[in-house]
Amino acid sequence: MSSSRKSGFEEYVSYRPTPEMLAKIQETVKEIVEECVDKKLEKALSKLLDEKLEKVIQKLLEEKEKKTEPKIVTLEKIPMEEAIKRIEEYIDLHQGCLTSDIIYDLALDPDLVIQALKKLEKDKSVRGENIDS
Amino acid sequence: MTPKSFSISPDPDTKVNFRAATAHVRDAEIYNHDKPIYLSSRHRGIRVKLDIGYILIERKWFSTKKK
Repeated sequence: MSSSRKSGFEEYVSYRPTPEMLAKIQETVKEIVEECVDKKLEKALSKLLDEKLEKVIQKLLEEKEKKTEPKIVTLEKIPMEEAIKRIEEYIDLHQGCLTSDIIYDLALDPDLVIQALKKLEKDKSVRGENIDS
Repeated sequence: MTPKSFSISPDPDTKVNFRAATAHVRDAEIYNHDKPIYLSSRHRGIRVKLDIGYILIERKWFSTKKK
């Protein structure tokens, strides 16, 4: 591994890579080497390795980050008027949506959504339907 | 805080029936997924242990605006 490649690697990987990551990197390197040897492009090999390895490492790090840090949905409280407006627009676009769909797609506080829906139903702006078997 | 008319806290040993609901809980554990249990004489399902939270009984919502 050349010095430039080593420093690039160290820049991205500040911790011990997982066995899956190492296997993926090795597989990519093998593919690139085979491709370059076949095409007699030995001079471009080092540059290609640097570029492709960086991409692979970056992708693997992003995947690892996604797995280790689950995205937490924050259900926010906003003024009732604003909530009513957003909910009305959402129901217009998603006919037959469930209460939970509204809560999570709009990321609004459940108590706020329920109160807003009751108000909208009272004003006959929306129609609620019980789910029966 | 939800007004009391929208929220209830049933006593322990109360069975809450629903057609469709979503549980908002701190943790959920599915028991023996490969061993279904009888919910009624006709329906089978699974047992899920829920820890701290609430169950929201679902409704479907439709717009009354005429397009």
